[in-house]
Amino acid sequence: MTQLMAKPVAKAVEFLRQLSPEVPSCAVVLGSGVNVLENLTDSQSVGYQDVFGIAPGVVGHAGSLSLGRVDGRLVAVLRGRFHLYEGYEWEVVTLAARVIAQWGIPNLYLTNAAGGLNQSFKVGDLMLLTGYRDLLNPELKDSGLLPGIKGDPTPCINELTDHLSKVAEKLHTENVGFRNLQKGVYSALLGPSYETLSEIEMLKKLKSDAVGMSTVPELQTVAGTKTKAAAISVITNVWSPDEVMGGHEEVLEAAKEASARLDKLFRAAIISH
Amino acid sequence: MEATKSDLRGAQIIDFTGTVAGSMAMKSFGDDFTAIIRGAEKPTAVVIIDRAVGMPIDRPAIVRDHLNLTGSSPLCGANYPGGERFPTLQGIYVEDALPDLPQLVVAGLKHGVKPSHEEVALIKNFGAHTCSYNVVPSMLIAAHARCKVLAILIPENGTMPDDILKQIVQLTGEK
Repeated sequence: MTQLMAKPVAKAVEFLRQLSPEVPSCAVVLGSGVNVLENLTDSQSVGYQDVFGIAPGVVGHAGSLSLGRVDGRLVAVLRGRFHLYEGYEWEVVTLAARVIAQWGIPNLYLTNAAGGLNQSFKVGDLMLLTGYRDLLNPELKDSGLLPGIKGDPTPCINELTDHLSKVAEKLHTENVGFRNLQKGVYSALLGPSYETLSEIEMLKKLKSDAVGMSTVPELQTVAGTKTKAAAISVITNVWSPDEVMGGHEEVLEAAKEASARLDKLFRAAIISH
Repeated sequence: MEATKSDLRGAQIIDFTGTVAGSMAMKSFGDDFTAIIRGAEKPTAVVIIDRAVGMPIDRPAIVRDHLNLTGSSPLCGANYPGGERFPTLQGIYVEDALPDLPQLVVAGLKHGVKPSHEEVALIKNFGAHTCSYNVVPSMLIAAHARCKVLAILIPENGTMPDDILKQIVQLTGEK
């Protein structure tokens, strides 16, 4: 399969070092339909095929890495990711995160499109992950999800999530149009089918605020490295018992609308960190 | 759109319990099931009969929804072009057939996983009434192919009552 041609981490890092001897101050991984940090200063872009040896195949995931500056600070923007539901192995799904950590990038912002389970959420809200539940790990292939639904979610609060939270608070105070961040627990399921009503009820009982199919592999990968990670879910629909949840096109549309606020947040966070 | 019993006309009956005469028998979910659903003569509906684990009642029941606790999905990998990459699962289970049977939510478990008493209690707390091994992956393949599903669960040591089987045969239009 294609993933067999993925580059080793060291090769990908070497490629990026040749592209830029300077290590970026942060990397941003963009999920389905999320478009931010376009028109960077001194920008250069390369395809995932060149960096990682493979390219993603899902609509809404471009598969390019851009290096450029925001107010003088070098950032790496990764548009697209690899998913377990596409049949990629864990090594491929976490490849970008391992490259980011090995290159020595100190800060990693992750984004995803997620379904809202918390009834106080609105479509287009941005949710800062304060914890996650891993329900997609290949380690669960033999046992099933029973171990994953026991116990508490894994917390993910650190200096970077605190920073994002403070920046968002400031933007909210100063800008009428900037909705403050929601905060909550993200449950990552394997997919690719959307959840049944009973699964949604289960996730709510597990105190999940949003559900998606990504991000947790990257969070787990950089945990324990010098790279700090913060993740934001773009809430693309909010579960309601009276409505059928939308499909992937609805997800892309909602993500596009929220991207403008996310762009503002990331630019402010990068400049002030 | 909700699936209804009228969708069952011409449905393929697939039995994972090995006890239902006149049906297509399968030991467990796998490529054979997928081949039928995606084959040249793919059905628009399928009746799945499976064994339940830890069923709270001693007679058959129909499935109205599920929790996928298998930790996997047969839809992972390259997308089969007969269905969407991200299928929605609402309205796939036929609920209005066999009105005399109770309706349950089933938790799909990995083959070989025997839940402990504590785990059964946990599963029930999360909204499932019973567990099975074949309904959930079968339903995912069927839903992806836009095939409606009537799923019937048989208690661990039970068999399909003749009168229920007759009703199924009538609904599907099989002789």
